[in-house]
Amino acid sequence: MRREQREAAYTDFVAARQTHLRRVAYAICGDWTQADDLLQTALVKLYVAWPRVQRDGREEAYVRQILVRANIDEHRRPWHRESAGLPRTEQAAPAPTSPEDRSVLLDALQDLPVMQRKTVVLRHWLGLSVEETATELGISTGTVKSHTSRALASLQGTLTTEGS
Amino acid sequence: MNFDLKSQLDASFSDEPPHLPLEQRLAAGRTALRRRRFAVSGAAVAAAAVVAIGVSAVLGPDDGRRSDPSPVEPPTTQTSQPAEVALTAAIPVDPDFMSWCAPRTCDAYTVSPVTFTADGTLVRLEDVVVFDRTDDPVPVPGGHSVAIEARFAGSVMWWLVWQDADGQVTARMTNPAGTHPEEWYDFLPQIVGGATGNPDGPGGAPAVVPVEVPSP
Repeated sequence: MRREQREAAYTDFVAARQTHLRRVAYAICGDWTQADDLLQTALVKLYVAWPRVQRDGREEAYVRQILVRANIDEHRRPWHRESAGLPRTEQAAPAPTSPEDRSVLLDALQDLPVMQRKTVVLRHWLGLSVEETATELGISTGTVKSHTSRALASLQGTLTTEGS
Repeated sequence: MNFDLKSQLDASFSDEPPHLPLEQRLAAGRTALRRRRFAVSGAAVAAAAVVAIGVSAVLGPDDGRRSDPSPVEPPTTQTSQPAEVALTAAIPVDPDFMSWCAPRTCDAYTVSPVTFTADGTLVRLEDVVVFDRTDDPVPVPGGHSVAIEARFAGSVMWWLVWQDADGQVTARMTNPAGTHPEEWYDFLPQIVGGATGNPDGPGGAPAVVPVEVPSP
């Protein structure tokens, strides 16, 4: 694949999907700066793997999987910290949505345990099947179902309380 | 479930920060691809050298088939192995160092993933993956420095760590996004001299952030 073709196709994909993909990252991590970092890391990897991934038609799935797994990796670290390694937290960061403006639903989502949050995002936002979600997260289908059930109950409870 | 979660989530995003320019995304991808190709070609050269050395050893020096009596020069190890494995293994892990930063205690500041011990040994926190390492990119009188690219707590960053003649260790960091490696390396001497770069990001000098150096 010629470089010009590769870059044109890559740029088209990024321009079309970066907003959605960053929202996925944000839904998972709850921080725009970290979501930006996650997405940038994933898009760099996508560029390197572009010929193979595009041939298989897996561009979006490839990025999504990196987003989810990178975040999983971070949470598995013994001394994970929420703002770790993010220089922009000390600079004039791009203005995120202020806490008071954030959606009640997004806030409720961030209050869920991380795996419950991911199963909801993958199953009920991105429309993956139970099996696909299990594969994506590296857990059993039964665990996906139990996480999803608990997460939806929590969300519904929170939203009902907020709405009353 | 009696509410439409998908529609509600889709409608939840209203005020989002701007994206990086596409050209910056492309530039970062090109840099990563060059690095990958360099590592792969280095590994291929190393494999060829190993085969050549092996054949030479099997044939022996006196079998009459060697036309060139000069010894085989193996490639340097710095570029002849897959970068992540070779460079990570080159920095020892100090188990005491990894426990320095407990969960949720480091939120207010950044911290270097590598540092020098009192005897000048470079150590890293466990789970830090070093992709690229350059020893002594900046001359430090009576001391030493190291520039690394490392994945640390979910983000890939560039770090400069140096130790002066008194043993004092200092670290600075920048975000690779929007910065070319050449710009970063060109700027390292000024960082040691106290420069902080452009805090607004791309355009001119990289933005440089001072970071904590934990005691190993």
